[in-house]
Formats: sequence, C-alpha cells, structure tokens
Amino acid sequence: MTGHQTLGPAAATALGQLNERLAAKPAAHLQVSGLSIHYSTLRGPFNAVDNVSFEVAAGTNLGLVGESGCGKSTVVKALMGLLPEMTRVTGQALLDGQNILGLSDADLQDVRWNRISLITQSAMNSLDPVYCIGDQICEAILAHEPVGKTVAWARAEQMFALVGLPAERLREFPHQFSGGMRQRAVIAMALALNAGMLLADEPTTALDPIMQSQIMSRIRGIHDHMRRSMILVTHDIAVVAETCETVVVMYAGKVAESGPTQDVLDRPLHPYTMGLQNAFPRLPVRGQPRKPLISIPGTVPNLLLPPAGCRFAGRCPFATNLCRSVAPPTYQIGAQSAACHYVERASQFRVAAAEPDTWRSMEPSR
Amino acid sequence: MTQATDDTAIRGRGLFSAMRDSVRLLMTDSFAVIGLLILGLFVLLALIGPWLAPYEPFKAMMTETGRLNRLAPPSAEHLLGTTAFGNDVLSQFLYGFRIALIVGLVAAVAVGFISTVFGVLSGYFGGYVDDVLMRLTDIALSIPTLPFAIVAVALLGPSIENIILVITILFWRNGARIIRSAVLTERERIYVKWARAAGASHAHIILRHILPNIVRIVFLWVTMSVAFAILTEASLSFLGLGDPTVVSWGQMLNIAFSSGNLRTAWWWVVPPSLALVLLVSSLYLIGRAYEEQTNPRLRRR
Amino acid sequence: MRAYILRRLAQSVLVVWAVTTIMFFMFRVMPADPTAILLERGLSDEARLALMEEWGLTGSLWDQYVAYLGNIAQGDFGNSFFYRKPVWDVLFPLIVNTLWIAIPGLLMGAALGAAIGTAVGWAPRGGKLERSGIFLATVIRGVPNFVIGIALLTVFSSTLGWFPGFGMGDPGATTGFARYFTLDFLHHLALPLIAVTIYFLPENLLLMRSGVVENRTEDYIELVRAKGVPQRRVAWHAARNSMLPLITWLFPALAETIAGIVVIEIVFSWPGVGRELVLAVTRQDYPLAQAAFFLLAVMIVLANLAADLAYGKLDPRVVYK
Repeated sequence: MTGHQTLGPAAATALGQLNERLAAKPAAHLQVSGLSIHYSTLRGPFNAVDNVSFEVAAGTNLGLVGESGCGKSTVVKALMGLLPEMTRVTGQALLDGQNILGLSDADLQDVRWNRISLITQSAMNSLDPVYCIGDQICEAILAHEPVGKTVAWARAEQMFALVGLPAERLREFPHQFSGGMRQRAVIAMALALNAGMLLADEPTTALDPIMQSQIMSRIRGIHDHMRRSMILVTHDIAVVAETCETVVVMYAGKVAESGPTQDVLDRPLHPYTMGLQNAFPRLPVRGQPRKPLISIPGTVPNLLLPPAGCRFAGRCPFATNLCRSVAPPTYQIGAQSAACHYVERASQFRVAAAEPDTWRSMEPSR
Repeated sequence: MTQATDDTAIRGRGLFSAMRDSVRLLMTDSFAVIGLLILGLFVLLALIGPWLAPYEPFKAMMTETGRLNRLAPPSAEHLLGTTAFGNDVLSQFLYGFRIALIVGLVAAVAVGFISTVFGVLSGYFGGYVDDVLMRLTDIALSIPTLPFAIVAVALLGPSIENIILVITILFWRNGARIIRSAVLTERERIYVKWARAAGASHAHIILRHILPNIVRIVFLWVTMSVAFAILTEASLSFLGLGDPTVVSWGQMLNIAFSSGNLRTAWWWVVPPSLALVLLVSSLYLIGRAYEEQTNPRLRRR
Repeated sequence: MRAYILRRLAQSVLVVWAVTTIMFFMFRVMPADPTAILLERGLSDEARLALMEEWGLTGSLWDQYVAYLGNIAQGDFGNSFFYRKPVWDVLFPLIVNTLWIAIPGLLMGAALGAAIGTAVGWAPRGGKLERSGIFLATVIRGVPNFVIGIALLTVFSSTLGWFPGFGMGDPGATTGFARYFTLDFLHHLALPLIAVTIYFLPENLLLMRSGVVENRTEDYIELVRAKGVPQRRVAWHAARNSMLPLITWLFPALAETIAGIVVIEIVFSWPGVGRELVLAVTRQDYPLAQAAFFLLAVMIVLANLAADLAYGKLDPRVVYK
C-alpha cells in the first residue's frame, strides 16, 4: 500500500503487528433484552423506546427499520452510551456476554470504537470542522492502541484505500470533501479498529440516490470482506432486504415485528410492515403489474401522551376497538414475531394492504 | 393553517406585550432576579439618598477644637468616617447614587434610542443607508473608547452633560450593529412577507413585527449601555476628568487615591468601590439573562 | 492571501485616515480658540504668528486640514509643550511599556478565561460548577478596572508589601533596553499584569462557556465521544471550535484593553502611552495628547489586523479573498 514505502522498518513492523492484532478480533454477538429508554423533558417523561429486544448473531447483519421518530437512533445511541445525562435506560445489552448499558465512563472508553464502532447518520456534521480527516481517524486509533502517530496514520491510509479515497486527502478538512466522500471517510473511521460490532445509523440518508447505492454496496463489500456484525438503521426496507439476515421493525418506540428478513418481507405479519413495504419503490417483476407507491397516512403519535392501545392503531386500516384500548402482546409464529392482535388474519391483511384504497380510506378519519 | 392564525400572523403583536413577556422571562432567571433586586435598591437610594445624607457632601467637618476633622474613622457622628478634606464619607457616598443613576439612565435612553433607530433603518431598508452606516461603525469601532472620552471631555470641559454626550457618541455604534443584524433576520421571516403581501405598511411591519421580536436584544443592549456608561463616567472621574461640581464614586476614589490614603482610609475607599461593583454586576447579571434568552442555542432543553 | 493582506492593509490605512480626521475636528473645531490649544500661551505675537504659519493654523479650515494631513503623513506631530522636545521622543519609549502589560495580560486573561470557561461550559447544565462559575464571572466582570487596581495595590503592595506598587523599577535600577530583563522589572510588572489579566478573564470565560455549550450538542462531538477518547479530549474538541468566536471577539476586546489599560497605568504609575495621554491632557499638552491618542488608535487598528489573520489560521474554512 501507498504508505509503506515512507515508513521506516520499525514502523512497518509496528503497523504489521497492529493490523494482525486488529484482524484477530472476532465478530461480536449482541443480545438486547427489555431495553427501555425514558427522556425527562420539561413537559414530563418521554418514553422513547419501550421494551425492545433483539439479537445479533456474530458475523450477521440486523436491519432496524421504521419511520423517523420511531426510536431507532435512540437504540443505537443507548448502545454507544451517547444518550444525554437526563435519560433513564433500563434493560440489558449483552455484548459477548457483558452488559454494556450503564457502564462507567472508563469502562465505556474501552467498549467504544474498540468493540463497537459507529457510522453516523449525518456525515455532514459529524466530522470536526477544524481538524483534518487524518487526524480525526488517528485520534480513534491512538486512543485505543499503543502505537505512534506515524503508524496510526499509515493505518488510516489503509482504511482510506479500503473505502476508495486517495491517501493524500487525509490531510484535507471536512469542508473540502463532498457529501459522499465524507460518508466514506466516516466509514473508514468506523473500520479503523476493526471493532466486532458496527452500528450504521442511517448511513445514506443525507446522500443522493446514486451515492446511496454506491455507499451501501461499499458497506456490503466491506462486510463480506471483514465479516463483522452490524446493526443497520434505515427507513429503507429495500436496503434491508439486500443487506441484512434479520430485521426488526420499530414503530413509536416499540418493536412491531421481527424475524429473518426473507420471512418478514415475504409474509409480513404486522400491518405497519405491510405499509412500509408499500411505501418504497421496488423493481418491477416481469409479467406482473407495477405496484403503486402508497404512503401510510398520518404521523407517528406523540410519545408524551402515548395512545392507550396499539400505538399504530390510529393509522392502521384494520384497527378495531380492541386495538385502540389494549396494547397487543407479541405473538411468535415460526421464526417471526409480531405485536398485533390479529396476527392470524395477516394473510387477509396482506391482500388488502396491497390495495391503495385500503390506506386512502384512512385519510379523512383523522 | 386556520384563518385565525393567519390573521394574528399578519397583525403581529404589540410592543408592550412583547416587553411584558420579556420581563416575565427575566423573572425566571434567578441571577437576573438578584440583579433586579440590587438595581431596585440602588434606584431607591438614588431617589432618597440626598435626604438620608446627614451633611452637605462638600462641607468641611470641624472637630470641637476647631480643627479640620481629617480622616476620622467611622464613628456615631460620621458613620463612614471623613475624607482627607474633612468631608463626611457617608454623605458623599449617598449623593453618588444619584449621579451614577442619572448617567446610566440618560446614556441608556440616548444610546438605546439612537442604536435602535439606526439599527432598524439600516437593517430594514438596507441599501445605501446600510452601507454608509456599516462603514461608519467600522471606523467608530477602531476608536479607542476611553482615550477618546479622555480627550473629548478635556476639550469640551468636564461637565456631566459633556460626559453623557461623549458616552452616547461612543456606544451607539455597537448597539446599532447588533440590532441591525437582528432586524435582518426578522425581516426575512415568513410572516413579515405575508404581512407585506397583505399590504401592511412599513411602519406597521416595523412596529408590530420587527420591534416586538427584537425587544430582548434592545433590552440587552440598553442594559449593557447603562453598565458601560456608569463604568466610563467612573473611569473619567477616577482619572480626575469628572464634573468637579458633583460627587461621584469615581471622583471619591480619585481623591482618596491621589491624596495617598488608599491603605489607611478604608472607610473612604470601600463604600464607593463596593457600590460600583454591585451596580455594574447587577446590570451584567440582568444582561446575561437576556443574552441567554436571545441565543436559542444556549437555552436548556 | 497576499491580495487579502493588501486589501486589509488598505482598509487599515483608511481607518487611520478617518481617525486622524476625527482628531483634526476634535482638536481644532471643538474648542473655542484652536490656536490656544495647539500653541503655547505666553508667546509674543510675532513668535505666535510664526508658529501658526509653521503649524498650518492660518488660512481656511480646508487649508489647515491639508497642512495637518501633510504633517501627519510625515509623522510630524510637533513638540511637547511640557517636555519641550518632539512628541515621538517622549512617546516611543512608552509604547514598549504599554505592550508589556497589554499583550501578556490579554493573552493570560484569554488563556485562563478559555480554560475555566471550557470547564464551566462542559459541566452539567444547571449544576453547581456551572452556576457558580457564571455568577462569579459576571460579578467580576462588573468590577471596574481601577477598583481591581486599587484592591491589588492596597492588599499586595501597601499592606503585605510583596510587590512594589509604583512605576517600572526602583530608583537606580538598570535603564535602557536591558531593564526589561531584570528581576526588578518583573517584580514591578506583576501587579499591573495581574490587574489586566483579571480585567480580561471574565469576558473570555463567559464567551468560551457559551461556545462550549453551543458546541457540545453538535453531531461531531457525539462522534468524538463514540470514539472512546477520554472526556478531557472530547471537551477539547468543543473548546477548539469555540475559540473561533473568541478570536473574533478579541478584536473589539483589544480596543477595550488598550482603553482600559489607561486606568491601570494610572493606578500603578506605569509609564505607558495611556498614562502619558492622561498626564498630557491634564497638563494641556495638546500636541502630546494628540499623538498619544493617534498612537493608541493605530495600535488598535494593528491589533484588528492581527486578529483577522489569526482567525484564518484557526479556522481552515476561512479562505482569504
């Protein structure tokens, strides 16, 4: 690689050792159970995440899907210990058997980036404007590995090569990068310590569609190459279909449905999943009529005053009085599970949900 | 959007209700409340101070033996002792409240008025007026404030009117700039455009839309101007350029300092120093609350 | 970059011209008899007329203005009435003295203020450290600088006797340039320097605190935290980004310091330009006062220029155009 010629023999050895050490890290296993997050605001407690559980097997990808404001990013922040001070987090998140919720600052320091790293939502603002990119990547390496600046810089050059950026641009500042390049720089930074678990928090939201697919295919390529575990947060169900083995659909802070991606997308059990599927463009299948895009009317409920029953009831075309008064339990059907009173009628719902009229009829009844 | 909200958006709101809101917000900040209490006490003392003063401020006190009662420490007769010239410190100190308040108040009204007029005209109408004003403040900002005041007061003659005039000349510029940029942001707001589209006059927009929304910035600037004015007057008096016919705290300190009695006559030095510190600090405490209000990024969520 | 510096220089020249014009009007138009101010009293009519010719005090206001600008362009401010020698001979040695307390005082105040301000801004909102930090800084900011000076003088010089409170050196001490490197000089420097530092510190502190509070919720701070670097390092990122407004602020602040230093120079009898200005004004030595005022204004213009250039060094986003 480019950096090697300029390194002295001692530094080259050190870099080799660092790469070996990092490559030896195993993919992480994560078991989240009963995760609830309360913010206290001036207008009372805000239940942003309610009893969320899921598991990421080592070396697999999990997709966390839902509209904005569903609590997806909050889950990610909780796992990194990034929530504001006034937040109450309960439940467990076992990373390779160790609970990483509620760790002290010192213990968190070891978990962050070393074992979990983060690809942030808006790469636009997530790089410090006054430091060059290389320094920001080196900062992460130097915080965790006993190497010098030259070795860290050489490692950063390798990471840049991995995401397809020329090494000399490490010396540039964030404002000199385009949006796509910044996102790649953030990915390079996330890979710098080869953490066992990668959290990708809407890594493509801020980009144009062409750049989105480029970045996603790069993430997939890197994933195939390095076999890390990953949680991919997105509102784009199509991206999940291409990338993730398992999927968790969240709605208003709760898990609506979860299971193997193939099963969930082929046979969704929860009307919200059905609605989400309608809302994203799919490649037309030859011989079948092109499916229309249907958006779900209404918005996510205000969680300061959560509705009594199912949180989706207000927007669900199939909701009954039961839905509006009693919160549904989670039903397990095969590998899939869903929080809906009428899971057994899912096949009926799927047919109806494919009709635009089913959703349109909801609109005036707000 | 319903009809009702459209209407209020176009009508804007009254200047007085905006001021009331602003004051109400001020009362939620405990530091500002402390500042307001101190300020209130000072205003009260300024009003009644001369009646409370036991002696004429410049009257020379004599001892029973008929000699000048110089540098007497505090006693029942002279609660804060006497100066090197036999004047009663308490009386001078009490008269000082009035001068400080007059300087602060007059300068604040003058600076506040000029800054607001220039800031609003420049920010709202832009163009030529704005260009001229901005170049003018650029130059004005390069003038060293206190040296300018020293020279100007020396040339004009050391009277309280001249001191206030110089303070006004010096401090209108900062306020005009700050208010101008606030007006620039307000001008671009959507309801101002609606109001324009609905045929509202410039005067209506300035009075009902712009001013009510920059009231906090104007208040912030007026508070700061009072503080600057008091500080400048005190500094000038301390340098011996104050109005010799009135008693001010800066002048008391100047006489104590130049007569070489700083260390011995603590009763002469401490009261005016403390009063200046309390007065200016209380203004800064109030100003800080406005600063915090006008900057949304500082507000707590 | 070069074009930018040239343009800024041109702007500075313009500002200096404006200041000299203001000065012209202040000294010649404001007082009733301008000749009384610029010429010594008690001269014979002949000598007086000759001096007026030389000084360009005859003719219309416009002619006077042109003559005045010509003199200033040549750096000729005339002779001091009091010292009876060219004003620059009086003022030049004093410039260094003023800078000796202005620049280190400013830097120390800014550095200490920034450090404490970062700690206060980084502390939990509404906590003890934040509230007491803000309160103390606001109160200290309200202390007039001559009160700071008087307090330091009374406590550390008159009462405790730790530091001298008068002038720049003991009688018979080293003179000339070498004096700046003697212990005696540093001993005399201590109190005025501390006074300038205290005068400067609170405003820097409050500004830095606002900057850190604004920056700590930015996305990039979250990413730095996520990287698992020590808290101190995270706070540094917020502080480093808050320094930019601090630098812009330093520019009017420098004007304020130099203005404020006049008083501190008086309190400590520090032989600087500001003190000389006050002395000249009270002695009605107007040529000297005029030159001292001009000098202070030029120092401010230069400080602004320096601040602008420093800003570009700190913020990579700034492009000099």
